[in-house]
Amino acid sequence: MSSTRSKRKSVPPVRPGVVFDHDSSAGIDLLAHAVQGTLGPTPRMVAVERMSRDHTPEIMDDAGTLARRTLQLPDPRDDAGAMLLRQALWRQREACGDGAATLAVLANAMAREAHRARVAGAHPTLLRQGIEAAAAAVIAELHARATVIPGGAHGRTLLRAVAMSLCQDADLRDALVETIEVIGAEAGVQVLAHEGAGILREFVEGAMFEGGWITPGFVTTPGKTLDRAEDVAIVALNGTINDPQKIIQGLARIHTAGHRTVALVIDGLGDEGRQMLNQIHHREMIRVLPLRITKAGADLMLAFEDLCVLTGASLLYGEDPALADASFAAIEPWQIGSARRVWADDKRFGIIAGNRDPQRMRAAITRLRKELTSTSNTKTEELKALRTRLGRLNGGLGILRVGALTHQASETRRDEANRLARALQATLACGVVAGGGAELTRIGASLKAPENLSFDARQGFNLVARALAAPLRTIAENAGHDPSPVHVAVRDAADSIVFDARRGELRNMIEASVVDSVDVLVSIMQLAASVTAMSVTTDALVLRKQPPTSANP
Amino acid sequence: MTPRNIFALAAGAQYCYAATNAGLWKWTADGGAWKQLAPQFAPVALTAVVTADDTVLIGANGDIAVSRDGTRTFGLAALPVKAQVLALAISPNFAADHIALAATTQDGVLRSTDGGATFHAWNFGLIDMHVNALLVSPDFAHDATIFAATDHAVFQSTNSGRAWRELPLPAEAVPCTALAFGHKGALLVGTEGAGLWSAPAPYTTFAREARMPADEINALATTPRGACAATSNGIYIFTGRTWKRIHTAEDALALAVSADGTAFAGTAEGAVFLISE
Repeated sequence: MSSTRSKRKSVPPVRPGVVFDHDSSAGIDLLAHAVQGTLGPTPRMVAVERMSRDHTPEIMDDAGTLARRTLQLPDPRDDAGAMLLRQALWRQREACGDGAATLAVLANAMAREAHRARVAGAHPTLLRQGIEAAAAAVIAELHARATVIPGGAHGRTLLRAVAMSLCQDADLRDALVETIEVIGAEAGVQVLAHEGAGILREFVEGAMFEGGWITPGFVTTPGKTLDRAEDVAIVALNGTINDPQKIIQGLARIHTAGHRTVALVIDGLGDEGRQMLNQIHHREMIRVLPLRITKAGADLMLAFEDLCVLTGASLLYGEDPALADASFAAIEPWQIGSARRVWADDKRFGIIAGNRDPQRMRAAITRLRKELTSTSNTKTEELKALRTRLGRLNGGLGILRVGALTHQASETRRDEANRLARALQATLACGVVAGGGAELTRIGASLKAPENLSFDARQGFNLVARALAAPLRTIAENAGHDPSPVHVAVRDAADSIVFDARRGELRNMIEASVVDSVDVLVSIMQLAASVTAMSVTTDALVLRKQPPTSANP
Repeated sequence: MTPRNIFALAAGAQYCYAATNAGLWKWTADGGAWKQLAPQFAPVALTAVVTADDTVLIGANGDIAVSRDGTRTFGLAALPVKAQVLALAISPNFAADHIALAATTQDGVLRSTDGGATFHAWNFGLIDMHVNALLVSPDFAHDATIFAATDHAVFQSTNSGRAWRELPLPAEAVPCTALAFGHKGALLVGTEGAGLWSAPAPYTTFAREARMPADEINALATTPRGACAATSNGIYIFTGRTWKRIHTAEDALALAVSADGTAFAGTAEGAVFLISE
């Protein structure tokens, strides 16, 4: 495999200044070579220096995390390309939990070829057009060739094969395969810490919100830690209520609308309001369950939005306490939602079978899916919040409590559980193809550039087709095999045949447990095309006086 | 009391159960007459019935009852909520896996793994909780597949009814009222006002069944040669090439086909027809 790593060494450019004829592919090449050893079933480890000399270097084989640890390269010309790839690798890891090393190898092969074509005189914009056309063709082929995960034992075998190719921790793998098999592709998965060394599973029915009851004084049976109610009216109010008269007026309206149990999801409850609700509670005219959501600002509004979508309630506004009381007192029947069941404890509450409008639910779910797959979104917390919301709207949650012998091992195990859960859910959603780069290689061999593309665009198209063999060749090379005969053998083999790098032979993908999730490969293809297109069309680099400080992507 | 409405039928070898507004009734081939069973349910409007060997499950507004001795005795199932049951379904391997499912008006799909003694709600991904019909794959032991027809969509579960995924049914093909497998294993979806729709496996492309003249499909059932449909325009059976009207009854609400291929249709007027091709 050729590399540009050693070809260019010159004096770093002057700051501030502009670098013309900028070549981002060199920086991409540097970072890709740093992580490509981790690709495949026989990964090599990479040591990362710590900030302090008091600790040993961090040893890892996770390309996404390695990229994240790469904060800056000394030469700003390399740094620009490397950061372009770094962003994509982290995005891949966060979105899919897998595939960062494959992305690095593929993006590097594509960027290198694109740079060559540009140097040879191809127009960057036309190259980009061809690259994007090829990426779209590859994605269409991946979907067409996908084996959808069926139900029953065969589906379980396929899921296990995916899990085995991603995780060496057998207990964690089994627990997650069983969890994902139960909750499906889109219900939420929450990975929590567990005191012991084992793994515990539980399933939560309905949409869960962090928060719980405001006061346990309204629990039906004193001493109970969980309260449940059936056929519950839902009122969502973004504010604190306190005025006893207004509370009575609001509850009277809810009673008149035919409800005998109401969950008040509110920001807070004043002392006077609390006393009034206590009196009402003891008179047993209407049962009131005051609940809160422990979020603030925009997150609180999103949680309220989900609550309204799930129950058909309309959010009452009242950040000013006086307005909150007035809003509640004037509540109209159409603003009241409902749910078949509500449960609550002091930390969370759940809504089961809310009276939602399926069309509105579908629209909300579609919007969340779109945001989740948007390649511009790389923030871990945002992606996590989107997944939580999607799981909530899909009506269920699988909770995995993961422990280990030490705190650090437990943290690593939880991180791995989160990644594996995402990969398995993506697999369920989109299916699998032959792994280890086999399907990409065969797709590359079968791609033909459309006749209507210009000559330069066809070059862009063909360079993607050629680069698709790079992951397979790197896996073979990492395992100590000659990549060329492996490439030819896999290219000419039947659809389900893969190269088992551990054994050094061609095998059936299920028997060898070498399968790739289509969702992961689609994300890889989109990001690789994006990195390459950005790289090839960037002509000049503007340098600031002070080098920028790196932050997490 | 004579039943005025037949809401559901369940057919076995040489017999048929009817869930009616006046409790549970049974027809046997040797006697040829309908007989009321379980007098305790006589004043109850039963909305669903399903059977496998000696086990009979019946559903009503708020309860599911199960008998394991051929209807001599019934016990009430434990439900997570007083659910209004619209349909019941059981696994083809009920004797081994004891899986039963209930479609409800507000609580989605309830699932039992102990032969109907207790039901739990399993609704991951089921965004429409008003479930009108359920259909269990004949190869359930291997594919663990179940379909649910709701007011707004059709959902598929490939993990025996725990998680659901919406199928790409066109927006106009709603509300979905009935499900069956048709010719060559295609999934048939009956609607209230938008006719009959079908999709071959893997159920990604639905097309309106142009050969079916009726718009309102009340019930569907799988037959050895395809399917039969109870519609507002009469009862139709698929002959292998087209849908043929075999009865003019416009108020048939329920269909059932026994393992030997005998088909029954029950009407809103309290009549049950034996259907033959």
